[in-house]
Amino acid sequence: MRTIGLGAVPKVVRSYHSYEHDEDPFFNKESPKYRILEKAMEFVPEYGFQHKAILESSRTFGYSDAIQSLFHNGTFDLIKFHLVRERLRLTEVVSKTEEFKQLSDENTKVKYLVKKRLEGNVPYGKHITQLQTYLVLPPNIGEASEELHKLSDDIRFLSGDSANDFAWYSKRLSLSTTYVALETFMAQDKSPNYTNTFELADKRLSNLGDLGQVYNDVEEFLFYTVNSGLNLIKSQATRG
Amino acid sequence: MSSTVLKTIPKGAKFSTLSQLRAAVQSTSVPDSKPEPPKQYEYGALNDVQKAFLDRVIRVDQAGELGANYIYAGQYLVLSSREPHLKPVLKHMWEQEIHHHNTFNALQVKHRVRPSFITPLWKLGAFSIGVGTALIGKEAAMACTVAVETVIGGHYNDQLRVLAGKFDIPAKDLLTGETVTGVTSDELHGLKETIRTFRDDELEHLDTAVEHDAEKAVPYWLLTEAIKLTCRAAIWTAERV
Ligand SMILES: [Fe+2]
Ligand SMILES: [Fe+2]
Repeated sequence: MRTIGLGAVPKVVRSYHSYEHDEDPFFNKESPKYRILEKAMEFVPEYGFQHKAILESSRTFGYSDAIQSLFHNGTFDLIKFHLVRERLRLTEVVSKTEEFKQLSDENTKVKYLVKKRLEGNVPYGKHITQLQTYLVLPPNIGEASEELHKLSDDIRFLSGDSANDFAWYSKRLSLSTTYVALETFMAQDKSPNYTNTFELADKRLSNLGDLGQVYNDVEEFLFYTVNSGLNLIKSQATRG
Repeated sequence: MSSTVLKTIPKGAKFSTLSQLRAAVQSTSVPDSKPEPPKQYEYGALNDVQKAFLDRVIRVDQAGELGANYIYAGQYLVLSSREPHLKPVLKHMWEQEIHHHNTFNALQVKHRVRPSFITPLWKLGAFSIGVGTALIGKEAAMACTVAVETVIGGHYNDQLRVLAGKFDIPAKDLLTGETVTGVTSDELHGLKETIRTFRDDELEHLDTAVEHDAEKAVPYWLLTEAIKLTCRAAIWTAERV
């Protein structure tokens, strides 16, 4: 199995989140692999998500080139590292940022976190197209969409989502779609500091919260129809 | 015609019992974690099998209690006018189901379990069973309760058996530094207690239904067997989908 486990095997699907039992940390920050990848990300703005960044990084640590055997596929390792690290950073943002704690409603929190996540792309802005193209390749698409779902799920959870029914799915799906659209826009965005991207994020995310509501309204209407049908039958029955 | 109706629905309009159901469900929020007492134990990790089990337990129980909630909603809708003397009995059981449902909703959110994908189907199916059996008559409605609670009670017992047998997780005593077994985290203990309490509630519903002439529904044996079968199929599905 191809993993970038860095000490732990990534779960295929997230399941039951425990509060009292140890959760495996995804990253083993002590491992040479983590240190090399972390440093390699500093070379990505220059080289892109290419093995060369890893090579440069291990050389700065003075590792022999034999350590390269840790990395089967430099591009994949770097991209996965980037996606996971930026996603996990959001959990830190929530627990450590005073600004976030001031936010009151769910939708504002979602907006805040999506923008934080997009900010994580800024240093690698030139290479987002490469990243996106790589992720939709057949061998990577499965893992890519899984990671995308985890991102939406984290953002929803951290923003205080409490959906218990189908809205749980529509809220995550709509967020994933919007996020991909924003990232695609960002890849082409030439405005200084990606101001256009962040403006678009504001616009697109303002309507997002309604999607779960749209579904629930439809369900509401269907039940209304069933109910009134029943009342009609009841009234007919008593008359006859 | 219907399209114009759809367009003119004001946003957030509430028409049906559904919105009341939903309001009742949503108004109870996730119980917030209290200030924590000093920790005595540090519990080992749950393995993948245990996590997958807990994941399924919460999903299927949530779907089951949602079903129960909607069955009573359907029965109540029909029987409250036809059999007014049953109103308090039904109301009492329904309120307990709402409490069960809310409890599992809170657990689902807290432990990041995905709800069943076909929640809309459970709602519609359960509501129809409630309405349908109640339209046949109060005996059929009570027989329906007997059938449902028999399966659910048994299912809760199965879960308790696994939780008692397969969750002995070693923990580190933070005072002595020794590894001990036979202690249970509050989290798992709470889940067990919840399931135990709810199982007792369900068996009480079963007794109530029997007291209210469920056995007079003997000619409906086909109906009760069909409902039991449906419940088992629903459990199988809700654990997975
Ligand atoms: Fe129940
Ligand atoms: Fe019950």
